[in-house]
Amino acid sequence: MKRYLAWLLLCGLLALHSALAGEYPEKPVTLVVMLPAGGPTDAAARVLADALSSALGQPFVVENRPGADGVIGVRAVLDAPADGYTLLFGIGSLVAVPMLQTPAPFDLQRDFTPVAAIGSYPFGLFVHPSVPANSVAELIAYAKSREEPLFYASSTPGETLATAEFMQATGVRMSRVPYKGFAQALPDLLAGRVQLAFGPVSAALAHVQDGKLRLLATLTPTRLPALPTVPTLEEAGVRGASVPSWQAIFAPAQTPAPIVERLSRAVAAALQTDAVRTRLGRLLLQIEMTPPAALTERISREHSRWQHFIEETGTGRP
Amino acid sequence: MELIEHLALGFSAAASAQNLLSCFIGSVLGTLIGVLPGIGPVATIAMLLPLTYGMPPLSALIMLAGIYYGAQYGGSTTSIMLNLPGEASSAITCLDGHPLARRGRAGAALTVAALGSFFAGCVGTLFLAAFAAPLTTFALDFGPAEYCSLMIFGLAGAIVLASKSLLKACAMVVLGLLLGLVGTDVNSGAVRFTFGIRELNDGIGTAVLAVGVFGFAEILLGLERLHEHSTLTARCGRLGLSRDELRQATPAVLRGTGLGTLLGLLPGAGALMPAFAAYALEKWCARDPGRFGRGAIEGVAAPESANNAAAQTAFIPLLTLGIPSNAIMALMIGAMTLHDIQPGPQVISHDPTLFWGLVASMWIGNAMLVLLNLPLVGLWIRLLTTPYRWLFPAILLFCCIGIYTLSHSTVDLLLTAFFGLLGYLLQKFDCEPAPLLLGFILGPLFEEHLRRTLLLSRGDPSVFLSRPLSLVLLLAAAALLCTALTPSARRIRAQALTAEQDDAIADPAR
Repeated sequence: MKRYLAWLLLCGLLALHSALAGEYPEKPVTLVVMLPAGGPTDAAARVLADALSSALGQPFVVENRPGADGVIGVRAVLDAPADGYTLLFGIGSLVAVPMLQTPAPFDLQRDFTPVAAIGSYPFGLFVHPSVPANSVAELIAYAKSREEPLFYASSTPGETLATAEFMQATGVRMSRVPYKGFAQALPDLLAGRVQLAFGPVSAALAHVQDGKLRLLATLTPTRLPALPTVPTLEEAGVRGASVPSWQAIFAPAQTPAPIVERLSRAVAAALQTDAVRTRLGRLLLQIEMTPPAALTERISREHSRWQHFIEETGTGRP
Repeated sequence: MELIEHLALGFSAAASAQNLLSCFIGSVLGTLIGVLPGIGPVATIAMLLPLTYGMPPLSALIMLAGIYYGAQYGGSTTSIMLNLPGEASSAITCLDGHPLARRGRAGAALTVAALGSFFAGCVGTLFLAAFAAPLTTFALDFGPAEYCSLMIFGLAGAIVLASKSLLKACAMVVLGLLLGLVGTDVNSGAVRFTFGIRELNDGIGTAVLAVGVFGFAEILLGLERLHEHSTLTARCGRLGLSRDELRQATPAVLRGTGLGTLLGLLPGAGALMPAFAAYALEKWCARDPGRFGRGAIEGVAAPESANNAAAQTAFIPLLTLGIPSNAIMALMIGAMTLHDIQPGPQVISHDPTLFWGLVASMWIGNAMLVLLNLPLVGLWIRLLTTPYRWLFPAILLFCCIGIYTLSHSTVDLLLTAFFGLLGYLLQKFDCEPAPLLLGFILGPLFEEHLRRTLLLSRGDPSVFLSRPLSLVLLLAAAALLCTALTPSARRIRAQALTAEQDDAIADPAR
C-alpha cells in the first residue's frame, strides 16, 4: 500500500511538472472529427493534423466521433478538459444543429472559441441530362412548366437549406427525397430517378466530365478555378442560396488564449506550405484561412440566417 | 485479346517490388484485424491513410485494398473457432463453422473457408476485369423498388434460415426489425426509441449486436459447461478435407461465388447480404436441410465464397461510378482523391495502369492470403485446446478493445454486454440469433428503400409489380415462404429435427 502511494505521488508530481513547465503542446493532441472516417471532412482534418504534427512537434491524432449530426463529437470535446489537447474539427452545419434539437445540446458561440477556418468545400447544382435545361434559367422555366414537381435529393441540413432557399428565391416547387449521404443519392441521380441535387462538387465532378450529369451552377462566391465555364448561382440570377460548408478548428471556450493563438498561427503557417495546399487542393477544398475574429463574425451572420429561415419555413423540425 | 493485354499491363505494374510489398503488408494487416473481433478495416484504413501520402497512388491503393479483402479472410477465423464474428459480414459463417469446430472439424472448416475464398476472389477479380464497364448500368438499374423487393426476399430467407422453430424464427426477425428502428429517421430527422441516449441517435452498431448475441452469449453458455469441459473441444481432428466434404463443398463454393459476384455489384445491398443469400440458397437446395446449423461444410463454403466474391466485385461500382458500397469503399474514395484520382468512369481509360494494376494485385493478394492462411490453420486450431480460464478473459478483452475503437464510446460497451445477456437468454429459450441479426440489418434498409420508392412513385405501390426485376424478386420471396410453410417441407424439417436430437444425444461433445 505504501509503495502504491509512493508511485501515485511520483506520478502526480510528474504530471504537475509537465503542466507547469514547457510550452504547448507537450503531449499528443486529439483532433475530434464529427464525421465518419473517409469523407472529405475527415480527409481534410487528417491532412491538417499531419501538418500540425510536424509543425508543433507532437502528434495530432484524428479521432472520429460521428453521430447525431455531430453532437456526439462536440460533446466529447466539451467533456474533455479545456487545455488545448482536445480540439474540434467542425463544419458549417454546427451553427444550425443546436436549433434543430431540443433541448439545444450546445451553443457554438458560447461553448467554443474558434481557432481558424481553413476553407470550404464548394457545392454545386447538379441535374440529370434528361432534364431539358442547360442553364439555371432554363431549369426554373422547365420546373414551372411541369405539372408534377421535380425530385431533388438531399442528405444534410445544409443541402436542404440551400434547396429551400433556392425554391423560395425562384418560386419553384420541388419534392424532397432524403438520403443518408450524397454518395447514397448518386445512383438515383445518375439513373435519373431523382432529377437534381445540390451536392459537393468533388463528389460528382467525374460524372459531369463524363456527361452523365450536368453542373448548372456552383454555390460559391466566385467561379471555381477548376471550372471556369460554370457560373455561380448568383451570376445565374438566383440570390441567397448557399450551403455553409466551411471547415474549421475550434477549442473549448475556456482554453487559455496563448494556446489558441499558437494553434491559430500554426494553422495559418501550415496553409501556406505547398504540401498542404496541394493535398487540400486535390480534395477540391477552397483554401481560405479565416482568423478567429472573422470566423466568429461569420458564425453570428450564419446564425441569424439559419434562425430566420427555420422560423419562417419550419425546415428540419420533426 | 484485349483483356489479356490489359491483364498483362496490370500484372507488370503490380509485380514491382514495392507493389508486391504493399500488397503483402495490406493482406497481413487485413488478416490480423479481421481476426481481432470488433477492430474493423475502417478504423485501420483511416489510421493508415496518412502513411500512404508519400507512396505512389497505385501502391497506396493496393495496400488499402489488401486490408479490405484480407479482413474478409481473417473475419471467418474467429467465427469458426470461437463463434465470434470478426466482421459483421462473417456472422453467417458462425452458424455452421462453429458447430464444425466443436465436432473436431475446425481444420476442414478453415481450409474450406480459405480455399473457397481464394477461388471466389479469383473469379470475382476476373469478373471485375472482364465486365467492369458493361456492368455499371446494372448497378444503376437497381433502383429503390428493386432494393426494397430484395430486402423482402432477404427477410423471407431469414425465416427459412431457422434450423429450429419457424415461429420463433419469425419472432426473432421481428425483434431484429424493432431493434433496427432505433435511431434517427432519415426522412423526418426525428429520433426513435433512443430513450434519450445520444449515442443511440445513429442506431445500434452492427458490430455491437453481432459481438453481443454471438460472441458474449457464447461465452456465457461456455461458462455453463465449465464444470464439464475445460476447453472447447478435446479433439482437433484432421486438418484436411475428407473426400465427402470436398464433394459437398465444391458445388457450394461455385454457387456462393456466383451469387456473391452478382450481389457485390449492388452498392446498396449491405455487407451481410451476399453471405446470407448464399447460405440460404445452400439450405434451400440441400437434400437434407436439417444438417444446417449443426456443422454442414456447405454452410461455411458458400457464405465465405460469396463474401470474398462480393468484396472483389464491390470495386466495380467504386471504380466505375465512384459509388461506395460500404464505409471501407468510402474510405477508398477518400484515399483516391488524396492521390489526385477522381473515381469514376474515366479511371479505366485515363489511368489504365492504375485500374489494371489494382485488379491484378487483388489476384496476387488472394494468392498470398491463401498461402498465408493455410499454414496458420494448424496454429488457429490450437486455440480450441486453450483452457477456458485463459480463453474467455482474452476474448472479452479483445472484444471490448475492438468495440471501443469503433466509436470511442463506453455506451457501446455496455450495449454489447446487454446484448450478450439477451443473446444468452434467447439461446435458453431456443431462439436463434441469426434471424435476429438479419432482421436488424435488413430492416432499416427495407424501410429506407420502401419509403423512397413510395416518395418517387408519388404514393403508388404498383411500381413493385410493374418493374420486372422487382416482380421477380417478390415472386421468389413468395416461393421461398411457400416452401417453408407447405406440409411436405414441414415434414422433412420435422424429420431433420428429430435426427438432430438423436445426434445430439449420440454426440457428447455438443
